[in-house]
Amino acid sequence: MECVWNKEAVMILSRSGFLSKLRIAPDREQNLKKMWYKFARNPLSRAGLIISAAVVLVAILAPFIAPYPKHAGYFTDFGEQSRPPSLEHLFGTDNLGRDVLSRCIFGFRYSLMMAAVVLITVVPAGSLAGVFAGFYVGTPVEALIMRLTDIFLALPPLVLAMAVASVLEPNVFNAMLAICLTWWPWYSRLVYGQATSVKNEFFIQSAEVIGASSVRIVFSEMLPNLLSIVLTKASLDIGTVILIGASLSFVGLGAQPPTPDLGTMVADGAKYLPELWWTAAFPALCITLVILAFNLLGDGIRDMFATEVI
Amino acid sequence: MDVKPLLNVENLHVYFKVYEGILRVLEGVNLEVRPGEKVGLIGEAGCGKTTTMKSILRILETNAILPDVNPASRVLFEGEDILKIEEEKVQGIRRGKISMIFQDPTAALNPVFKIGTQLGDVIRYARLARGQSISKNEIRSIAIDALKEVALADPDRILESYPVMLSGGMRQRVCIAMALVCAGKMLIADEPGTSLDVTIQDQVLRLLGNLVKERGTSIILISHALGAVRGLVDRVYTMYAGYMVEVAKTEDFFRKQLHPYSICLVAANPKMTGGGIPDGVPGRIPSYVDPPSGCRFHPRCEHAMQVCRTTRPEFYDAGSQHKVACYLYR
Amino acid sequence: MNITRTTIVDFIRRSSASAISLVGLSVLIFLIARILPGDPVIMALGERAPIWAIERMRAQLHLNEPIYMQYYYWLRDVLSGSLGESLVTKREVWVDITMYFPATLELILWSMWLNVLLAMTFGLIGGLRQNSWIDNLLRLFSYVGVSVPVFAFGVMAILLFCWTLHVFPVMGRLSPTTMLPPRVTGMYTFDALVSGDFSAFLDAAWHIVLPALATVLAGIAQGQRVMRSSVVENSRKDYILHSLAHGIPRRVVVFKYLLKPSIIPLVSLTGMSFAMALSSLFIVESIFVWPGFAYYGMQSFLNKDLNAIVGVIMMIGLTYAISNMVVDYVVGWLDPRTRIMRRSK
Repeated sequence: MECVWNKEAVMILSRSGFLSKLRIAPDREQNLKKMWYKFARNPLSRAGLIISAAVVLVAILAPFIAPYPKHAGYFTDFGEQSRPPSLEHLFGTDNLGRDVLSRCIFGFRYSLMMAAVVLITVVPAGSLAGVFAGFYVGTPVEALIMRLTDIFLALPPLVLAMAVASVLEPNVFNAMLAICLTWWPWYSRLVYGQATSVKNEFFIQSAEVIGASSVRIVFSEMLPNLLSIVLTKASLDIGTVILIGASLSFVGLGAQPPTPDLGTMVADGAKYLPELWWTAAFPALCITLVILAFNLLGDGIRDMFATEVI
Repeated sequence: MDVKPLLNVENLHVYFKVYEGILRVLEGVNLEVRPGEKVGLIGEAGCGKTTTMKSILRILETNAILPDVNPASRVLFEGEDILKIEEEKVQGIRRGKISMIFQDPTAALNPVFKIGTQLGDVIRYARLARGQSISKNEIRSIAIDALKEVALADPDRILESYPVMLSGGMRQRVCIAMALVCAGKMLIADEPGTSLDVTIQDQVLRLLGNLVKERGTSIILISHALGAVRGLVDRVYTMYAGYMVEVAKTEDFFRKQLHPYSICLVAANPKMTGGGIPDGVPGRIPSYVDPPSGCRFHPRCEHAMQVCRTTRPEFYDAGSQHKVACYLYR
Repeated sequence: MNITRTTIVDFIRRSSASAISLVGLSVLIFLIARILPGDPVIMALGERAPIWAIERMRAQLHLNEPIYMQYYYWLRDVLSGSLGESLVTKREVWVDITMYFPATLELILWSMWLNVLLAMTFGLIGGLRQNSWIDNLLRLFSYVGVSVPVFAFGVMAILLFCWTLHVFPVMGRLSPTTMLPPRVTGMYTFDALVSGDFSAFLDAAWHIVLPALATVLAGIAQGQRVMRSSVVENSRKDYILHSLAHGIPRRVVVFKYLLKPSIIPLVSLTGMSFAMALSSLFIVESIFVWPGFAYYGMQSFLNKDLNAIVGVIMMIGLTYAISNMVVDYVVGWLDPRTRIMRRSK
């Protein structure tokens, strides 16, 4: 069986555009095509990809796309306050006269940034912890790591995130910290489970072959599976992490006003229901759209990595 | 000889609508079973045997199509066309006249219900068909009797067990018991005992033979085990790729097969008396999406003629109660 | 259910594992809560409180002592039945919790049964009518339902159903004009039923439906997906065909022989949904101003009410652990195969 991690590496590379510079061997190109086919088969995954890509693009180009980029920060214009959706302000203005559409566009930035930072931190850290625990089974290292994992998993994720965030000063950075602390044990447990099951299989079956090469063999057996499983979970988690981040902001434990975080905006807007419904409704729709898009994308990526079952 | 048949399948065509297109599975099946008669049905996996049986009981999948053909497809049971009568009447037939023993007893029993529940429901609805209501105690005693008939020891324990607690042979017997409750006139046994080991299979077939003899029910026995078929049935049908290619009385058939496929099939049966392992039949059953024109066996037949490629042969007479669908015997 | 020796041993093993985790959790939360920047005492007494009052409270809360001593005092208190005093309500924390608990219990019970009912129904309809327009609509719902954050749904639902369409009331547990049913459990719907006051029951139910739906929307969406795929898979199985072939009416086959095996994955998922629901409660109770335990918890988080925070977290942890164990046992009971496999170990 060809080493799966090669495929993943190529996939990641292809996304960053280095593919054209490398000369890809024909069989690898075939593998890529096959993975793309598995992904693109489902129209919902394609839709997810397009919308997620659009959101990322909008977030990156926010200062250029938003009609009123200055409204995203400290800004008030009481002359234009509380206007319902119109041609000048597609999503209307809030009670401080800020354009809701522009703030939503900048809001995407915060959602994506939160997800990116959290996952980039948590996935390697948690997985590494799981690998160590799996490798040093039976030692205090494993016991410590797994007990710690169990403890952090003793609470439902959102509750833990809120608890941690509640004892810290409420801002974006601390919200991200809280989510990181909440999320790492899932990866630790996932990787640990994989590592131990593969390890058992290997040792049971080839007891005589144990030698110096066993370490390398274990790694080359474990890693390919691990990578695809971890990446699958990570892509499915993007939507969830965005959701938790927005929820923290909503309850006031994350981004504070006037930061245009989508969760904060819904909370602010909720105070003015039902008269200024647009101040809450549009941010709510936007955050739902983002999460939906990344959930569909995550499903598609999972399909892509799924092995064909005859 | 001209006893009115109990079951008469005439020119049965059944297609299935699938993603790739239309599967023309059954293309003109003709089958006749007289009262009290035992009929065997042999053929490769995938030739349409189970589909035919499902048509008789009208339990085909929702994507099944019965196309308009001439002469019309009919499944006549006691004179009535099962394909056309109302659902209620078909229910009546399922509950009291015809029943089927499925191939895999493990898959045929619902794993999360006790045997007693499943058997009890079958009994309750079978009785309902005859217009009788029935009490729990009566159901239980009938169930116990049914289990005793199929030679299962300790029926009380079995009624309280879940299928996973029983062995394969016991599950098969339970399925037979369930079928017997419903079988008034005819029993269809779809490869009974195939998924079990040979000794159990032998027991099961003997059991069936005895039961059928005692009650006088007709039986259609579908099997790969040619020896079993030979020992049990009066007449043998051979089926290939969606229609019958040969039918004969058992002794006639096993003495001399006529259709090229039947010849290969019987020859392919390994014999304990030596002679090495035979070659088998070259090729595979055709795709049903794009089946061969004319006689469906012609790509694999060494006697294939020009006419075989164009038109399907009829069921030609070739002796007493012996018919072959092959141009060699026109 | 046979209570064998292995069952008891297994139960003890699981309980101790959970207990250890909970103890670890208490240490963790305690540490985090005490590392607080900002002074809880000042937050409680106000900024203008005199120094002597501040010092006295500090001593009372043992804030001047080393942290392991503080944990020791807290643990001692817990083991003797006290969770400390809330800085906000000035009552014992456990008094607060028992006061707020029934509202949450009611909400979560309604949420869970709505979850199972709707997920089961939608999944069954979708599975039986595969690829029809209703199936496609339900599948669309299952994707969206998982993606809508609880707060977004809450806000939008209030906007739509309460303000615009006037279908549901905006907040609270009972209309101002309805009389409180005599207190049996503190759960208004239950109490109203028990005392025969049907109009109060309807009123309370009317008030609870929207919060309950908000709590389990994601759970319904996921449960429905699982149920649907389970129904689709099982309806192709031989045993269904077998039952039909023996003349058992289709109605019985679907609602008895198809339903029971299909519902098993849904039940185990419901356990996970319960955990998600526990989290969602915090947001739902805040939005709908539902005076429950999670609302109290939320207020404690925001007010940095140390003892209350720890008390709430421990309760949640305990509930979570218990619910996980319950789900394991229920799944084992429903599917005799796992039960028998376990017994034979």
